[in-house]
Amino acid sequence: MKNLNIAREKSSPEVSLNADTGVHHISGESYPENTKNFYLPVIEWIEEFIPQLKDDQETVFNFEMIYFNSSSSKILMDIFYLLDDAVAEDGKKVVINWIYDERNDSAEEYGEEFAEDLENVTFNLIIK
Amino acid sequence: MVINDIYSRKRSMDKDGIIFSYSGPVNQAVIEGFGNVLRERLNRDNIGMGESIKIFSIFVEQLQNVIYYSPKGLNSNELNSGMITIGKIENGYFVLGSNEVNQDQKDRLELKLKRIISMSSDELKKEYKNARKRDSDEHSKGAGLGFLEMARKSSKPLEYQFEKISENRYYFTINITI
Repeated sequence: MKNLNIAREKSSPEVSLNADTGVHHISGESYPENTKNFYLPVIEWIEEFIPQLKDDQETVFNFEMIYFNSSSSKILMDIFYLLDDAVAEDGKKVVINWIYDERNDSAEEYGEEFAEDLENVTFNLIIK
Repeated sequence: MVINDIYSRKRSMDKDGIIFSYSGPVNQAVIEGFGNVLRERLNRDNIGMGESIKIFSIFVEQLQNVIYYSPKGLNSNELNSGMITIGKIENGYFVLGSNEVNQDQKDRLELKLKRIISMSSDELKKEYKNARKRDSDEHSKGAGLGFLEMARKSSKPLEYQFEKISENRYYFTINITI
């Protein structure tokens, strides 16, 4: 599977989805003009990647979001649900790391709230 | 316009604590460009990352609302036009955003906002999470979420106003205090 790399822009995050290492990064800020258009390739990539994971293969998604708007918040939740389902329904090993700066209380709070709604996937809150 | 008028207008804005003000066409470039300037300006006040990001997020939500909710076909010269004003007050900052809406939008917005104002902080959190859940049928651009987010970040209940311009046209203003 090809990797997906999107360079960071002013209002959209850097995306690095790596099928070889299974370690992925999404970081920066997110308030693009069209949220759905930006994240569609990301979601499609993950949807293709997850089913071909072997049972003992762990995959890690590192999120380091400094600021994201409300549309992005909804899409991030959609992505987290996707990963949560992968664990609950397909028995995949998935870890999500939510990384934030100690001084960024918004990011901390959002991380906690995402975690509250995810029942199966491992969701770690990590201070940078 | 006479020079005298402009300066007195500026003095009046200074008196209100205004640090940033824009009225004109709103698009993504405006949000990105002015966003930069705003954040630099806030940094000078040494308010801390948390508060700075909160103010910036309200700024973004309000301007993106202008882009998403500008009534189309109303008057093609006035697409995506809005006003945003940010000021420093005794215990914080205010972010005031405004734009034109039509009757239908006014009715729907008013319903939403009346409800939001009546909610406690816990109720707002619950509503926000519900609206964000999968299968929640919000308008494709995260509509309801934006106002909920603004309300949650606001240090007091958000304030809003609709001024009737003419038949089917209102000037909508929303004020968030941080």
